[in-house]
Amino acid sequence: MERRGRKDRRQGAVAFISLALALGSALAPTFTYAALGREAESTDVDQKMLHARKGVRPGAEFTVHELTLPSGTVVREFIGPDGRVFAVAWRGPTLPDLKQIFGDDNLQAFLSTPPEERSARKSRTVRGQDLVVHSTGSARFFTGFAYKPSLKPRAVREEDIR
Amino acid sequence: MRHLAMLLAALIASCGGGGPPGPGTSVGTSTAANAVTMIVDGGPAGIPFNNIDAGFVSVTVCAPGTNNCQTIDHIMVDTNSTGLRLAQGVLNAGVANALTPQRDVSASPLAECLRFADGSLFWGWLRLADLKMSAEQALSTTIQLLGDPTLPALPAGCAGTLQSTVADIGANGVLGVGNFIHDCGSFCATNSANGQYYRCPAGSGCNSTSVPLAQQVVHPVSRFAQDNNGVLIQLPAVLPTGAPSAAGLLVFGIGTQANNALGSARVLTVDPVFGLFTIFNGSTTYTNGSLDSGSNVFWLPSSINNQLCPASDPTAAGFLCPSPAFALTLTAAGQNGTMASAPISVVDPRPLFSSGMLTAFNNIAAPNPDPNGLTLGLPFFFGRNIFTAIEGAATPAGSGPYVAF
Repeated sequence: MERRGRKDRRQGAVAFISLALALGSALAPTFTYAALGREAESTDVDQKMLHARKGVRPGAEFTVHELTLPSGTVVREFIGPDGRVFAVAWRGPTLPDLKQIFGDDNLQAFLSTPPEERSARKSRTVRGQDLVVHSTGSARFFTGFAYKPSLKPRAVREEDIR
Repeated sequence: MRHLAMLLAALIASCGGGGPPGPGTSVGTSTAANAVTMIVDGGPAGIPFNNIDAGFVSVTVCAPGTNNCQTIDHIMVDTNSTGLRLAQGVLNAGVANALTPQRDVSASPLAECLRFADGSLFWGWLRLADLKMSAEQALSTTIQLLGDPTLPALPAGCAGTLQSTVADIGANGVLGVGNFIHDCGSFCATNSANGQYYRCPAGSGCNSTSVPLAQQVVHPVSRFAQDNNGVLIQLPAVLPTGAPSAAGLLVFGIGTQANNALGSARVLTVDPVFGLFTIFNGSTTYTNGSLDSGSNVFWLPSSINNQLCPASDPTAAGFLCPSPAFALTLTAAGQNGTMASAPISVVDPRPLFSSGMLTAFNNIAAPNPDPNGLTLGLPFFFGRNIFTAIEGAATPAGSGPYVAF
């Protein structure tokens, strides 16, 4: 059932893009943010918006789309069997644009959910019902991860998301 | 600064700020030509909380080449960032408006969006100022001026919670005196889509742009005529029961004067990209180690302790409340293989915080979500001489970047 749902969504997305191309740029797809919680294709949006190189690492439980940013920071986007991005993780000398890799809705949830742990600027941990984020770092080193518990395959542990 | 960690959850206790003027130990006052007093206290007057374990100095800010100056107190000293950033409104308009704007080749003023791990950010103009501390001067130095009324709206790529005011920051500004000369470096000099530096043509918002190193926010000490290879922080020892305040020194230069000799300090080189070194706890290795005066705790991963203070305790939530208290004999190791013993102790902070009158502690910790990360924050600095050497700068123990203690 899940697989079929995924295929349907993909067909829908393709149809929309085709329509947009047919009618010109006025109807071009407007989603400019990815990727957490969205379809695997949204990692292409992140790749473009972050000016990144992309590599794909298939695995048994999930596929990782690995984006290497111009700064050297690596963003890893985790795609589950349902074809959706259930987690993102990052590590490197610059903090990636969290609005880009979380999507605006998840960024707002990160900023507004009462944190489990927080220190101004240095780190913030949020453990909400549908969003878990650890973010830490400063100066020239940042690392963190975020995932959607509702999308995370049960066999994947939090410590696998790095 | 990205770097300055004030554990805000704990700061809401007292009112008034300003820091109790209690006895507090002292290692001396700043009569030297290359040192200023560094005080650990509650922070600037008027903020709605008391800082804990934050060290402050005063900086004199002048319009370039003039005597139009203002001395700003309670600038937080941060060895894990680069450059001076001033909170909204701390400079009077006569000085603020006389600081020369940094502009790009088409004369558009430059601004910076400095984003932090917790989702907050600084947004402010790049301005040139002459900075004076003791007898040292950093002339025509790029700083960041936060919250100026002429700033355009936050641009694309600069999303987060804006922090501009003294109350937001808990200080009148931040003085970054870390290992790096520039706050961004070559990445922002060569890459226009850096999401950190912006050009703001009149009336049309701001867009990301590359900024040459010479115009980036810069380590003020690197601009001094002498004593320009790093800093030494000397804070007095405090008792495990804490202190109302503590007074020490921020000394400029390493091995350049009688008062900043390395002596028996171990020199640990840090990696030149991230500024990190390794810390061992017995047989466990933490690869993302750092020394950070701008962190007000020991940041410890859950493999060392995960006993969070109760979220319901407004003064201690966010800290570790270990039971029993514990001590660790950590070993810090530089990239050069040099090792230094780094013993620390961590206690349940609730008795320390209960009076609301103490601001200086050598034994408080908070969880580090990075399982490989261990930061020795300001609690580590009490009773030690801690050196932070600037990248590429010559010292008697070789070139930076390194830390030594």
